[in-house]
Amino acid sequence: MSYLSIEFGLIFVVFFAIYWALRLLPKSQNNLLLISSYLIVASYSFQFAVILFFYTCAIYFFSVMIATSKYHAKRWLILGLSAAIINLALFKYFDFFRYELQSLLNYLNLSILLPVITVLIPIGISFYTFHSVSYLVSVKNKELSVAKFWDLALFLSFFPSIIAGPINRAKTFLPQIVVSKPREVLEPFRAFTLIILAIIKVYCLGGLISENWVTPIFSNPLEYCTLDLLVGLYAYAIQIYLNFSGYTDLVTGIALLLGFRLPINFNFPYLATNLRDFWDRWHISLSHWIRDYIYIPLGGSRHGFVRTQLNVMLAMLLSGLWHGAGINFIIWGSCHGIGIVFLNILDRYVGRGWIVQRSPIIARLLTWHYICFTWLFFCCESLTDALDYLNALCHNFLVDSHYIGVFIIICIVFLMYPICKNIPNWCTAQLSKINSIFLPVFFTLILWLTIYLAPSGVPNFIYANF
Amino acid sequence: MKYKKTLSKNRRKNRPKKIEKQNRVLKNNTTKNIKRVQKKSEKLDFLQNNQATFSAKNIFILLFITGIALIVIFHRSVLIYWQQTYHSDFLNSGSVTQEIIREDFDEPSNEILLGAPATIIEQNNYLNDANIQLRKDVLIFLQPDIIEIKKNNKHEQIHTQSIQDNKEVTQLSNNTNESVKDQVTVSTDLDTQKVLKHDIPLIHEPLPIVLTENDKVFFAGDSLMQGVAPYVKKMLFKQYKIESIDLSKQSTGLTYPNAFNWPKTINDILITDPSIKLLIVFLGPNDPWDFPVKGYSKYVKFKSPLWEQQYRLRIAAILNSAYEHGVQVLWLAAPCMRKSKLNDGMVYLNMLYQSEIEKTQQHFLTTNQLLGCTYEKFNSFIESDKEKIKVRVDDGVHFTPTGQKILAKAIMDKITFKELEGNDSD
Repeated sequence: MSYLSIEFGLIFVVFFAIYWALRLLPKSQNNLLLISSYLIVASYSFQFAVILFFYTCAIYFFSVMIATSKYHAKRWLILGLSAAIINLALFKYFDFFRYELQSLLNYLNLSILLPVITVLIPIGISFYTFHSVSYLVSVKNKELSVAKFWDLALFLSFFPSIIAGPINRAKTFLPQIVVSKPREVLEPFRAFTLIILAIIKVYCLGGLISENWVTPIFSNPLEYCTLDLLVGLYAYAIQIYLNFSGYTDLVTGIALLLGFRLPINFNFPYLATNLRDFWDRWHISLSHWIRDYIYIPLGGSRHGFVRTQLNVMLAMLLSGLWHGAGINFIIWGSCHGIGIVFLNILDRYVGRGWIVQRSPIIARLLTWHYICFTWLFFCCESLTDALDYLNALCHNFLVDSHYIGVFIIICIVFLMYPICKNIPNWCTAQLSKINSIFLPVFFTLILWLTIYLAPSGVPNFIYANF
Repeated sequence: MKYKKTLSKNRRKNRPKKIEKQNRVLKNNTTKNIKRVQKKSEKLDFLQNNQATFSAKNIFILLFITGIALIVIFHRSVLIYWQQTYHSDFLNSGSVTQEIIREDFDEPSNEILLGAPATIIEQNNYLNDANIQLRKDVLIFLQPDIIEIKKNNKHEQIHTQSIQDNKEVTQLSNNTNESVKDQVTVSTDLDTQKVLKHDIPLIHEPLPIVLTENDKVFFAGDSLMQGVAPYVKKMLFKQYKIESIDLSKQSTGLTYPNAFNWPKTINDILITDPSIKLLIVFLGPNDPWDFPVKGYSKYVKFKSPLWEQQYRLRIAAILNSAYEHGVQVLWLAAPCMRKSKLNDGMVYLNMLYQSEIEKTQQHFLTTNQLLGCTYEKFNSFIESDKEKIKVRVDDGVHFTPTGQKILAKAIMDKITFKELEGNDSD
């Protein structure tokens, strides 16, 4: 069930009423949340809910073993992490590697037909795997005691963040579940702002950009001129940002209305002046997760310059591979890795922030274009598609342009973008000033306009596939 | 935090001004500043108070009212969404059972026989919307003789209206014979007298699809087409420099013209772009559902005679507007589906597509063999001794990129490219 569908909206209003009717009983609220979360997972497929439940049991078992075992805690942790990763890899990558393995077997003339698993990738599996890793590590580091089974189950299945993040940390999220005193709605005006912004971003702007600019250009890049192809790349970069950050806004708003706080996931990523800065602003919960659970355990920057660059490369490759099994995602990851390594080298030999100090706008422009270039591999289904696009980008100078107006619009938006920085806070402040009697009218007007302008159909959440 | 930041910024900005400017201005400025600070602190207090008092109950009322208001405003879209998603009428849930249809069915046909065709014309409202006049039957026989039909065009337009009405009558009254073949012959019977002399080449091989660089291809369909069309688009342009238009849209079909009206869209596009020479259609999975027909209070059951008649009219409307604009049609059969109910629906729909296509001698491309499955046994894989190639995604409906490419190649194989004569420059 999509969180932007009519059904979800209606059910949520009812759910909200029941949830807060139980205000004095946080335990019952937890149970309600747990049941609803499982129902949402089961609305995709009943199997998914069963898989999630067994996974929760396994993680609970490992956490108990880690906490109780005096001498083998580390072994249990490794075992638990391996189990989690293997589970994820089997579902996500088996099909991809089956092809490679099969062609290898064929090449070696071994007549073995590999079995075929026709199970769908369970919804949210990436995200609950990340959640569980942070939980197991926290238990091992004695930051947390073993959670009660049902609390853990809610932590892993919490519906706002199970589909596409943000990635919660057990250390900050489990205490929010295990409260004894009544919960309160947190920052209602910020929640409203986030939800309305989300609908505008995903439904209206993202939908329009995708339908009018991205889809036509990407469907046959060879037909278009260089300028149009640039517009296509820019538009995709904008669309994926609007889609994903809008989704994050939506679930963060929903969680606030339920009295939970989710980690920040986006901080105006296209204002970044270098690639490292970008990863501090884009999908923050993922980049921090990768930093804490991959980059630092690999040795981080403690083993010299060369080793650091290797670690960066490896972390970025894994990040790429996480987004999907396929050569394009590996290229995407390595582009980011190479970019950061290059930046590190530049910092070491030329000086940190050499470009930024001289011209922040050029730094921003360069970063933006590099990121747009990497999105090309992210967006295209196959390497040949991406290469076709690049080829056309480099050769179609003489074809007539259809999107010159759009190009100018995007340039203006790019220059104006720093002003947008305060929009969410400004909106929150303005909303809080409106008399609460007029709020429904105001919301209705805004949403009416948004839905009226938006293309028909509920847009997909791009990141729900990962 | 943010407020503090902005405040301090304001102060910093204003300080030099204070020194530079005259007293009066300075006074103004400072008072303004003080006011601003006061305002901001008020705002902060207000914000905090308001946040505390804004309880869950208020939020519920707020959400509830907003929700109701939006549903009222968008009630039409909501009803269409409901129809598309749950395939029933929100207000009158449930659809007409077969028995009721039969009863219902006889009534209007009797009425018409008694000379009251109004309800039936209403039924075809959406076709009239599209300015499509049904000349299907005439077309079948006239097709080899294009010049002839153009000469007769005006004349026909006058009498087609009557043909249309007559045809409805005959179709309706004979529809109780559920056999498709019967229908075809019955519906054509009427015109045989008028056009008998053209009747000889009844079963014609469709003319091969030949395109030149100046021609365009038009893709129409649902999410299946959305997957396949980009590949064909790229291949067409890469190999032949042929441009194409892809309007495929997910969740569309011929069942709910209120949500998306393909016959009308196709007709409009063909009018605006005369360089289109080939229409490729690929749809079906969104269609095996009951749908409303004007003049009937309840939904008409899928596979019932009235359903079939309506659906055929929609297919014919597309083929007809293609014919009018001299556009060839390549219609892809909906492939096997994992869910048996959907699969059965596809078998039935394909029968309708194929028979209508054959009537107009256009191209019908069956897809099952290409995808390595049959309607009896679904398979996501094309299996050979050496390997299994996955062509369907796990939902049992859509294709993997490999599957899409296979279909795209099959479409490309149907197209013959002809170099333009005297085009030496390229």
